[in-house]
Amino acid sequence: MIDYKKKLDTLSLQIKSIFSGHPIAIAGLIGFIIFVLTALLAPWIAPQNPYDLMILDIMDGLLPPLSKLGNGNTAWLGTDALGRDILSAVMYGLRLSLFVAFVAVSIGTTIGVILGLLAATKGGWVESVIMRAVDLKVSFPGILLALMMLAIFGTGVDKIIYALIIGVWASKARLTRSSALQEMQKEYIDAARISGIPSWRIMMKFLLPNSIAPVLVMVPMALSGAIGAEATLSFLGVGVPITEPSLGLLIANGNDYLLSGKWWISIFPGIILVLLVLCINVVADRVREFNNPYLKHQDRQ
Amino acid sequence: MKHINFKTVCFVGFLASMMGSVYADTLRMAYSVAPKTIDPYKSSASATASLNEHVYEALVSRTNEKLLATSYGWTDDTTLVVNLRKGVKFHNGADFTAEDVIYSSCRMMYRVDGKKNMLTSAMGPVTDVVAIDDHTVAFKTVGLYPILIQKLKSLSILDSGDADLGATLKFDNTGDCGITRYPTKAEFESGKYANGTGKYKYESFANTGDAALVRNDNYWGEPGNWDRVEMTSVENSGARMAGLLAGDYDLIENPTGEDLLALEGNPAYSYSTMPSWRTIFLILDVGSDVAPGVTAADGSNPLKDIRVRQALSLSIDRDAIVDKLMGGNATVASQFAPSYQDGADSSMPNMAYDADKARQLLAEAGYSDSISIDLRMPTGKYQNGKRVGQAIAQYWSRIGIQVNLVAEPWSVFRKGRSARELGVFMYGWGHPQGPSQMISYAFGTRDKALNLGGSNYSNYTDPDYDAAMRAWAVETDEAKAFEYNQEAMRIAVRDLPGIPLYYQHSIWAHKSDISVSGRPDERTFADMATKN
Amino acid sequence: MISYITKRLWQSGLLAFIMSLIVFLGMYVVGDPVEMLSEEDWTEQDKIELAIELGLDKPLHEQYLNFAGDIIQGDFGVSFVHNRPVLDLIVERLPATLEIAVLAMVIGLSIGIPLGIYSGIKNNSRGSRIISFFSTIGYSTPNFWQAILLIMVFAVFLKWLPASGRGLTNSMFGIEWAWLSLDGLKHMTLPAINLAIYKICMQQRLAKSGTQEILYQEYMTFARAKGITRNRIIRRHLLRNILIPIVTITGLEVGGLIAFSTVTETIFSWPGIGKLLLDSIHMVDRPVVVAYLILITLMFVFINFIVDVMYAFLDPRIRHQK
Repeated sequence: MIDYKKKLDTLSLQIKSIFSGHPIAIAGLIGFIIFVLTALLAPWIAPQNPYDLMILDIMDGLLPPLSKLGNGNTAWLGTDALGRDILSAVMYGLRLSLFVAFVAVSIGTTIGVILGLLAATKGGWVESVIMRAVDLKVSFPGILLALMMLAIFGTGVDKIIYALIIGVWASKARLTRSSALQEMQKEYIDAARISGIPSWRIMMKFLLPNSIAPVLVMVPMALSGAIGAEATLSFLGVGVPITEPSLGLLIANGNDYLLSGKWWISIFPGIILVLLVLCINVVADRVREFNNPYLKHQDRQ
Repeated sequence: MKHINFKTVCFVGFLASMMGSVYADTLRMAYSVAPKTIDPYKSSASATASLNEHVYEALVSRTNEKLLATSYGWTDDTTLVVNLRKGVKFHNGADFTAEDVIYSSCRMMYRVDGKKNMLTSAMGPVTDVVAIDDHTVAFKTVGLYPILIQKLKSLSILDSGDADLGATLKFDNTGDCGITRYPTKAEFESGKYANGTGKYKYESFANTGDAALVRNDNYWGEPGNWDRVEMTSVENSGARMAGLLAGDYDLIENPTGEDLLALEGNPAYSYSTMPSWRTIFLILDVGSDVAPGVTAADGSNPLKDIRVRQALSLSIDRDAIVDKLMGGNATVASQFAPSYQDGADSSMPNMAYDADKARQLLAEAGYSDSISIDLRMPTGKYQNGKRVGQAIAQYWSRIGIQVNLVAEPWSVFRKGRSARELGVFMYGWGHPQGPSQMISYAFGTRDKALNLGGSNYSNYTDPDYDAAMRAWAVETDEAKAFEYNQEAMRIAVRDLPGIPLYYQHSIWAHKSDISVSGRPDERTFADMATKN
Repeated sequence: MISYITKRLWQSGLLAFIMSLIVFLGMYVVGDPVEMLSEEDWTEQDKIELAIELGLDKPLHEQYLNFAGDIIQGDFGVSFVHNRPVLDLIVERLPATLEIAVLAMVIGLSIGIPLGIYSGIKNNSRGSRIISFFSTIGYSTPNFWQAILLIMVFAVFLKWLPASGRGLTNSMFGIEWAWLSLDGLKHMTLPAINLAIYKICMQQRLAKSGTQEILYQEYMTFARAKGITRNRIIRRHLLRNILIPIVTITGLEVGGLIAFSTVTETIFSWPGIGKLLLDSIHMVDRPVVVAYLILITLMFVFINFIVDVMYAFLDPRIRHQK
């Protein structure tokens, strides 16, 4: 039986040692947790459902922060042209941006790890096909990919996720393959082979746990990358549907108003997007630093 | 790209420091779309045509002013005789004569380097073009074709001296015409034959869309307002406006309505608007048993019911859209073409707004809270399009219709439309030909011979409407043609195979030391601007 | 060595082939060029004639075979929209992209690496933390948003720099360059900075982690123990060793800058190939998009090859192995 309590204790100890003495990293972690909670609770804490066109009123359009809406509520961060409350839109946008990035990164990373392991263990034509597919992806523009998804499957949040998955998996596959190859040079793998353990078991039991660390370390980075990629695609007009704005689409919509002094439409979602990605990256940096053996050495000094 | 060698830069810099400015009157314009070519027959896209219009002229302008023609008329059912202006010279000094009109007609039909010109429909069913004398030319058509003079607005006149004409010049619809040598495409694109009669002479053009022009001092009429015109194109509207505010340009086209707020209160800049010929409307599939993307609880196509169509139209507060979303830079529609365009029935009332009546009509039709509609629209095509689409979705959802707004890139949208996958969609149409043009294509029953109903995505058909449009198509008397067309327009507004929304206004933002009187055809021409 | 090069050539040819196939099919689903080019008042016959002229009337596989056959003979086809040879279009636009890409990379390397080494050596110092913090912000802000803020601040409010276009160009070796004129340089500045910010942050991070790893290698401790001066250590040992990961990444980054500066070029209306690609995708200009991406695929293959060679040159262990 696994001692869950002990595992949990080790984990909390590890988290403690990662963050203790690093106030910026702690702030990043807290910020990230707040963002995630806001995203999860958005439907209950947001003053308005910004996706419900029925309750929006264009007569409330373009109000500056702290204005009163037609129904008596206050728009703390102002409204956009359609009378959408920016505060609610930002909460829902955060929810959507995080959701899209999280799903895309988890699926993309899983696919990447599996293909990377396959490439490392099978070798031969399997490896060639997978690695050439990785090369191909590098030279393929994301905008064309997203446009193709949109043309084939129609608009929708799920389509942008497909496009992002294709964007994520390649680098993860390359990374998994190289660390698995390193692992395979170790003697215990040879020993396991000789003792007749089937190769899929070696893969699952030894290679996966031992070569997944560098990939996991890159996950937060991939998350912030995916949030940015979704924002860019939405900005280019091939992202999420216009009736369900993500943070990126809110920024893009607000850009039209920047010159005219209606700064709140673009600036608030922009600040939140940057803060969100910043929190993730600060935590990611710390986790990577902690996992770097040379730096551990330095920590100890 | 402006190409200037180093010596010129030094020299110009020296002059500039002496005089303040080299060209006393240079106009720097930023287009919103890049012109693609200096060949006037290759594309009718607005930007390309705008550039070319500075250099070349047609017989009649898009706003029906006489340019190279002084008068025209049908002498019989199939002969249009055009009297040409005398004393006109091309930029290279050659005289303009009837031969140039025949040559230009031939080149329109000729496949330069095997490529079809995009504007060949300008020649319509023309069978022959003959010179009656040096300054009179006759166009012969195969049958009645009253809109030929409208079509000829796209026939830019080139100098026949650019080609080797051969022994006899005789029009045929392959463009061979006995001509022994046309300038090649490469020669034409190089600007060597950018030789028209227009107000401005070609100086340079790059495939990025940047161009420079200088005034034609030998112009037959009032000469151009500017010594020199430089045009560039900046697709991103924010960057275009930023360029104006940064002093890079004197005049930009199509600023967004929002950006105009930035100009108010800044005395150095100003903007000018002009109601355009473009109508923004919705198309409804009223003929199919199942309209794509439209469902009702009982499985029928609810759009077949006139009460549902009326409800859809009545639920939209067009005044709010025009005031709040368009900043007043649009006109509420009364029909499918601007009421202020030649030939429209300007007495028709604006489309009404009455949400209560809309709900009531839906209930009468038995469709309360049971209709779901995919409203499709292209992105980046019409001013404020995305917001207008969302506003319409707002209004429809308020009368109990489930709306799924689908905004797609233009390419995907056009593909879906041609595959007839769009049951309800937003579209815009503007044309110099007048109110007849849009409805002749959009709502008529398919008639290939008369070229009616080619874009009938409503699958609408009505005998009275068709009778009116067929009579219009062969009527050479302009006043009578207008009447037939107005009759058809009234039927279309009664039956609502689509829903008219508003007429777009074109906007130009500029420095306040120039004044601009805009054009209704969404083109930007240097002489719209004059220095105060 | 020869067999190695042959294998790479063979593989890159295959890669280009697969790329062309995917993009060809992709452009087919994205839109219909005839619809994009035709006007509303065209008759059916007009559309059919245009389709025939563009070769779009044939079945898709036949279209592809014709296209592939031409490519093998070195003919990349003619743009549907511009009506000019694709290769001419790309070659004309390439200098504009090259000059901002190179400028951005130079800025990125010359600012990023020193900052990175500094924050690596002085890890945990206040200066190092500030640098890392700003580098993370730069890294976290989406490119398009940076571009718009740059325009707002430097073009609209301060009016220091132009917001769009390429400005005056001068000719060198028969090619038009913007960096040869003051006006052109001014126009280059904002787009180049927009591209450079990300590069600065990335190079800083790479150089920092590289420095930290190397500082605690045994030979560094040894060198210090031997009393070699600090500057000499940095010059002789540190720079050389951190260059290996930087060279690898930089190679691909330069490729990325050349191939996909689409967002920056679009916002600043910079007439480079990135903007050509985006415009062509939107206009369903298939010959341009397919040819472009084949060339980009080959470019990345080439860059990877060069990176491997540089690798061997920089890392004596690899050099001796071969």
